[in-house]
Amino acid sequence: MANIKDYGELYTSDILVVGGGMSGLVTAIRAKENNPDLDILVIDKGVIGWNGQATKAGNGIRSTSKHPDGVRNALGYLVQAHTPFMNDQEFLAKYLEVHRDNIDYMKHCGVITSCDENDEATPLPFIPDALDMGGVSINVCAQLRSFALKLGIRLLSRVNVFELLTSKNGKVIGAIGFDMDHMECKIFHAKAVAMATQGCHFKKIGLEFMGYGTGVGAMYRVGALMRNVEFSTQVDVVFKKTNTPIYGGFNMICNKHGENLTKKYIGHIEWEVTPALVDAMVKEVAIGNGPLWVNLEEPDEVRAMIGGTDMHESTQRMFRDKMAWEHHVFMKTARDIGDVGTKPETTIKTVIQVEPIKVDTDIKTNVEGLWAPGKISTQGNAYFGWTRGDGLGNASTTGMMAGDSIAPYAAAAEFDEIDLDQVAALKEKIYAPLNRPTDRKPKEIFDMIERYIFDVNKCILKSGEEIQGIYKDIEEMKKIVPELTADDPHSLSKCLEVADTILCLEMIFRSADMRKETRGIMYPHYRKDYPETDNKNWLKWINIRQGADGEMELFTEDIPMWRYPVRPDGYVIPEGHAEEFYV
Amino acid sequence: MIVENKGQQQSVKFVVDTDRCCGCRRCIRRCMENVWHWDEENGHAYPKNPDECVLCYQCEMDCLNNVIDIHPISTLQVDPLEYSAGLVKLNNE
Repeated sequence: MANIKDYGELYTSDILVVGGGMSGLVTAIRAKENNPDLDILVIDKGVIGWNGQATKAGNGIRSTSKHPDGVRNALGYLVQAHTPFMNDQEFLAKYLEVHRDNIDYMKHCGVITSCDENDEATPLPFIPDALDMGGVSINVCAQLRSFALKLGIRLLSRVNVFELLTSKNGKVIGAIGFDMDHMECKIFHAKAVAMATQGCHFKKIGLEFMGYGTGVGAMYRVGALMRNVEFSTQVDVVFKKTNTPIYGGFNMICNKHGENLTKKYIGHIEWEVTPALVDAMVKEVAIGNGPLWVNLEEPDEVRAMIGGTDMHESTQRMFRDKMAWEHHVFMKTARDIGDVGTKPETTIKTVIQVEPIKVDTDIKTNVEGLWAPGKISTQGNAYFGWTRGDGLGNASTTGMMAGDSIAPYAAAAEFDEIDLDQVAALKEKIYAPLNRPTDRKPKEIFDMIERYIFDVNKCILKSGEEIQGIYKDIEEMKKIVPELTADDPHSLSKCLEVADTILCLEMIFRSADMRKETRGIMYPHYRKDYPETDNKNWLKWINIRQGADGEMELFTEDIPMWRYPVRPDGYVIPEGHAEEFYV
Repeated sequence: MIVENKGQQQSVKFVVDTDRCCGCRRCIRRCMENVWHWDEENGHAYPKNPDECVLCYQCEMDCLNNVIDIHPISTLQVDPLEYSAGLVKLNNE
């Protein structure tokens, strides 16, 4: 009779946390503090404590103001901030309550944060009584690792998982993958699973990291619901020489004649990069008015604020060790490529970010036994708050919420039986690229996707016609996947990762095709053929799931504005619904 | 050891003084992109998957014996504005 150990090494735990970055470690710590009897295992494809997006992020950490109206003020700001009215405001209200203790909890976990002389986070000047801010050490994950080990949490580094295991009734009961050094199969069996894997984060620029969407893919295949994927492309203005952001410099862009693009095309300053500005930049270059440049000698108010040039050390957006890191990067670039100077040439960079897992206020997905803390659910929980530089706050707060919820669940749950046929099938799928007679490499597909991030007409200024062309490209990419080959753990990972990156790409453009309006900045959904925001017809979420036939299924859901406090001007409660929000 | 990568947007040259590698393996520990590996035969770390480098320099900053020197050759090979502007012209023709 077949035994699970015939397929690979088996690890059991009450709770399995996939992803040992900031949100995964906080989830584990919070769950363990809730119930010290729980056996918790955290796994990561890298080395836990030195990997994770938090070790690359630079934008400090926030918490909701302790002002009595802090939650209400922050909610009012965030609903309007980037993707207006797309938030789940009931989620956001609960989130902001937990977020109030965020920095305090990080200090409790041994994380070094920069605060004022009274050890308090200092209020952000441009969002009074709403959000407070502190810096956080570059070694935040090492500090959390140390705290987790003291609590008795088990850590397993350099294991990459690609699929989730389910019981006969569809509950998630584990995961399967391989170790990144010897390619040995690893099987994980648990009562509850938290996927803290971040999403698909496709870019290639300095100071950054890559995410391929393997967590998104694994959750999609077990039936998790996705949401808001059309808001997945970010655009930023960068130094052409270094390809790193000119924080807050986007209102200061001039053409070769010295004409300011914001004045010429927009007429008022913006607090984020807008599709209109990107459109203007492309137009100027197309008519020969390039190169575009920025005068850093005369910073405007946005540059002074977002560029962080006017802040005291205790509240600056980067902690001292992060400043040292950025300084190092600049010095190296200056040595080999030359200093950017005070009037640098500028261009744009585009990033694909898909973090769409729909979660409830416990950070639990619609799939039994499955949680999704951290960046992977920032679109799906309709928070979007990290876009103002609070990815770290989002990681820790959703970790706190998930830990509080997953601990009692796991304590009350039993181990469901592993389906050996499922393990065999998934193992065969994972290792398939090792045994193919073909010789095609994932780089072929990654290069195709990379071209998208150069082309604003595909990623930022979308149109129905362009999207139809992209569908054809996606089909071409999908045809290559079954011919990909690998010969070591790294190339095997890439073969599996690229398939999930294609999946994420398809989600973006299918939902962008469906949403026939324009909405949002910084992570905009912009349609050249539908350039106006349409609050009459599009106060709706677009949800995505894998249909019963295995095909991608999209459907809309009315945003229940009648239950929410923050509404668009002129909003009328639709027929069949009554006012449900009472202050 | 000198290794160059072939990233599409950026190209990088790793200059590694492998004779002085002390074996701390901090580069391997830090790299999120799985660039660095250990050469068992010769007893030093090396950039086995250089194409994955995202130019964060953290391996270099963590290196205990300061033997890693990363040279960015180009951070941006295609200007997205020029590329996009070119496409607009093509579509209009």
